[in-house]
Amino acid sequence: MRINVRKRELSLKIVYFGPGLSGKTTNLVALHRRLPARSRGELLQLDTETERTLFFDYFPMELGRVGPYTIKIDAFTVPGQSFYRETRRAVLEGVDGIVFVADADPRREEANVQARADMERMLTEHRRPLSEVPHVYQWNKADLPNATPARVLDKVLNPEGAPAHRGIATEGVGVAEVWDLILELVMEDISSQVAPGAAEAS
Amino acid sequence: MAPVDLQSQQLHGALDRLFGANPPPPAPTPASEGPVSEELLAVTHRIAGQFLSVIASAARGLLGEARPERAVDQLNQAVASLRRLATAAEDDAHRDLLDELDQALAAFDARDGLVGLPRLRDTLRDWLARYAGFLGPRAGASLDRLVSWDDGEHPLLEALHTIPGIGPKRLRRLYAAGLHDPQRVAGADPEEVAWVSGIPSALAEQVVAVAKQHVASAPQRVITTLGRQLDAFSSLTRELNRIEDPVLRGQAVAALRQMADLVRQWEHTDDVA
Repeated sequence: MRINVRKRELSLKIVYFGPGLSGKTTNLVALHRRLPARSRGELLQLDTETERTLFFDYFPMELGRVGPYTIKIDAFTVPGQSFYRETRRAVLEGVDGIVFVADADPRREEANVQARADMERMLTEHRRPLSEVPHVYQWNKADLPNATPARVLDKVLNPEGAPAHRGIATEGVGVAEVWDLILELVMEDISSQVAPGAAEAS
Repeated sequence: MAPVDLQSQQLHGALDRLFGANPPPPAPTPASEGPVSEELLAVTHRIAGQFLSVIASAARGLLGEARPERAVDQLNQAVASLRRLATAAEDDAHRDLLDELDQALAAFDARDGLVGLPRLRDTLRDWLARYAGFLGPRAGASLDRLVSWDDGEHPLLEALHTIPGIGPKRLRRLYAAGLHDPQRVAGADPEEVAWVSGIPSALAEQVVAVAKQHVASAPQRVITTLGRQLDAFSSLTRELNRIEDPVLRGQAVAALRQMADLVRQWEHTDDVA
């Protein structure tokens, strides 16, 4: 989180993580469309010639005001392909909440597992173990005829029992739900994290 | 979408503690009109730092390179990628720095040969140092590890260019998709390489195979280079005895001690142990 004392602004960072082609960008685009125009900033998509995310997708938004304070959100996706690890690492640094978009296509089971392991390793490298970072799962592409059932995905990818929701991001299903879930977790985390005296200590 | 409960007493208390007492009057700016997020700038600078290795590698390729236009092409690609980042973040200072390199590259004419190449190389050396400084201390530290100007290393793209079916256009596409780091490509799933670069799967498999060979042969290349440097050093030591000027002798001794220090440092790394 970033604190701008002069402007009384608190900026939080939410990252959509997951294997390549799982639907992270689709989620972000659908979410951006749903937000009121006044509260959202421009959607940036830094993709390759073949429409895959090379760097990241991003948009800023203003969540609202709490008394004299303004709460802003920076929403990012990461490129999912294995070789963009350093880019994922750069985007993940300083994250406040993660939406892990898993692919319910059974052929992508290994990719899901690897992406989650990758996320966990990177968070540890940033000295923020997954257990301390608010996160939710979206089981995307739930409309595939042979989609892996949610309970199976939950068992394989979510042993910690984090909140999870099925999604069909191309139709906007489950997009708002995971966004609401992660915001709720992040705000709870801030409330509980800042114990009396913590601000002075930092 | 369900509104987040921003009115909880607990959240109010937490924010009061974060910001301290007596907040000044706020000056709200809607997200759509406000200045660019500091986080976006930070992320773009961190990612731009990864391109230092690419630029340094292309810069190394410029010296003694039979076809310097290829190295220049790589640099142009890197600048184009970085410009996308800088433009996305509305980062004028970043764009200005990239413009400088762009102009140096545009001014370079391969036909100038021996005169033009060292000039471009010197410009790059100066630019890289300033660019790393702009990106922050972490980029500066990584640049220290990256830049070695005389080892004659050729980048992976040279090797990929030898694959039948990988012409300049596909090479550019691979580069634009970020596939220029041998380790990264060697460990990639060929299907993913095909997805991001748009090349056929069979070719992507060859690309990954060549990258693996490139990585596997790296230790041998290091030994070969070391042998060449040793030969050059042997002939230099014979010349050393002819130096009579005490200042120059002092400089030679200092350089030799620096080399000895490097060897000692290397001997103490975990790899050697």
